Amino acid sequence: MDTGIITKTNLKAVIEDLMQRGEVVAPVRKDDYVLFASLPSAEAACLDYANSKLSPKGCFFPQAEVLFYYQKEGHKIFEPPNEVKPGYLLGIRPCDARAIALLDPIFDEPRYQDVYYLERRKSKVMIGLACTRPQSTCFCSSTGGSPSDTTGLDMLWQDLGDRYLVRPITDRGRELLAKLPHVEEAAAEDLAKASEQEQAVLAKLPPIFSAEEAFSRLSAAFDDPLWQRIYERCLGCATCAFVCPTCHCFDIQDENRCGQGRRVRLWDSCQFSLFTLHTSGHNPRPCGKERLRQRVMHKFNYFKVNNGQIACVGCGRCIRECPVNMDIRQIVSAYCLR
Amino acid sequence: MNNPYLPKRVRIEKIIDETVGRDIKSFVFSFLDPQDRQSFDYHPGQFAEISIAGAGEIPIGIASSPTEGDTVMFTVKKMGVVTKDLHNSSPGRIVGLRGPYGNGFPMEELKGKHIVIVGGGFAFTTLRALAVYLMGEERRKDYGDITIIYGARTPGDLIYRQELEAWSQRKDLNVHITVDKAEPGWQGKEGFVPAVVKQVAPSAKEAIAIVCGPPIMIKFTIPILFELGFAADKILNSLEMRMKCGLGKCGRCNIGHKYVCKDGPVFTYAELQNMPPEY
Repeated sequence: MDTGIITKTNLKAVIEDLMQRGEVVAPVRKDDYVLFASLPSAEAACLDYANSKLSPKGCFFPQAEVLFYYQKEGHKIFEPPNEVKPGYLLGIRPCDARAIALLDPIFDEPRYQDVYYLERRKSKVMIGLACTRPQSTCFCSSTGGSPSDTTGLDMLWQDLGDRYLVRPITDRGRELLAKLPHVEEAAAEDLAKASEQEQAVLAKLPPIFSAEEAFSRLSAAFDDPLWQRIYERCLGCATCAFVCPTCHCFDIQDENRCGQGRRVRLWDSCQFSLFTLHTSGHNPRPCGKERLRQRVMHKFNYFKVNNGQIACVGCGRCIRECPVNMDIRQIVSAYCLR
Repeated sequence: MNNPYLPKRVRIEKIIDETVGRDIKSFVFSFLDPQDRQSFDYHPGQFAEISIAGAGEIPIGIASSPTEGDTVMFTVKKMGVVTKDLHNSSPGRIVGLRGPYGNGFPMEELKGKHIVIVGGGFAFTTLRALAVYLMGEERRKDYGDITIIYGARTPGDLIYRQELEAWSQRKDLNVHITVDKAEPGWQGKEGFVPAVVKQVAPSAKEAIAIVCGPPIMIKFTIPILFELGFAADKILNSLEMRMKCGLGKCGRCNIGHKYVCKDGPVFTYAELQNMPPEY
């Protein structure tokens, strides 16, 4: 079967089947927002959502994680127990799946493989959920993505109203499709409807700029006086970095209790003044201007030089969550218009 | 899979007070597991992360040459949490070490060239590693003239003093030691490093200059090297930057798209001219 159909009446049974096979991490409603969490029951999965408050990058790169435990005396170290459970990441949006694919070359660099990330990453089959209701802050089409992009996914589901169209992308996805219960073969009208829907959603997201254009314009923008004006509104709170699916900067800290403790890795951000502060007092990025510029340049320019693609997927979280309404689309557009 | 975040255990074999102010010490480490020394395959100009459980990690340039045997030396100034803790150590203490990291000096490219080493203050550590490597008996013939110009504020601030004196006696090295301010009994030069470079005027022909020191020294030394005819791609600098992982992942040591931890810390001046001035 190339493409399958799961009717919504069977959704619970399908998720229950996945839960039998392994851990299912999926969007779950919490207060007035949605977060990715390990499903306690099939009913808890919330597949009727716009996007999660925090990106699902935390499933592979948690906000805080133990690198190892230590005993100070003798510098004895103990690796943490491996608590990674194989299973499924269900309901991830295409923009966020692309973001994970962008993080892979950072953590899976051949010389220094990040075992913590890779263990988690390998443990989950990625089941995406195509975007059918883009939000006002979405701009994936400007960054090289699309509402049904399959990058980083093993399987893509598309909500057709009373049913999901199920498209396997990788061998892992095809294997899973063969095992899933209650899957029917998709009919020609299902495929036609899906394609029509895809076009309609895409039409709602006209590109504001192209990744290429943003990259080349910013190549010459380091000394542009515009940064001075742009940064003045920024509080340097780093909310943008914490909600961003591709931000991956981290800090390493020791937490002590008497003669022992643990070395932990924590999300960090280039928006904080301490981020680059030397012990001598020298700071290569002493002010908000340099720090905001670093974030924009890293995403739209430096990252592409090193990894071939820009590191923004257009999920719009930084725009939605910014306390002073900074809008990265406007910043990049400003340089594209110059 | 090898976990690059786990430090290997090393014992502090020896601690040497380098300066009169006693705030700069050299630490000689030996690996508890000889296999770890084997995999710690380094060359001059690279750095490593010294770990003190409970205090944290610091990236420090390796001050020993790989030709000096199984121990590894670091010269560390007392500055922050980790360095203070390290300075309070006694020989025998076990700490952690992971590395080596960074590109180091381009050892192949230096072969057959005249070498001009210019250092200032306690930034002389990886330059010491380089000098020791180059002047080794089997390798000295691979290089042309070796000129070493090194300065500190006062005679008491010069690190590796005994070695410097021994090097000064050698006929196959041109060693010029200077201090900003002389003291009674000081027999060497008095004057800033850039001025001494100008006075010594090493030829730029078939030569490579390696410059490490405080920013102010570098700022005034580079124009003089240009005057002497050194091209920007024949001048090497080693940069310092705040780091955490040392592996090119934690994201804080970048200058433009270059990461000091993996693309550096050694850059030619020509490379630096093409990088944003964010260091």
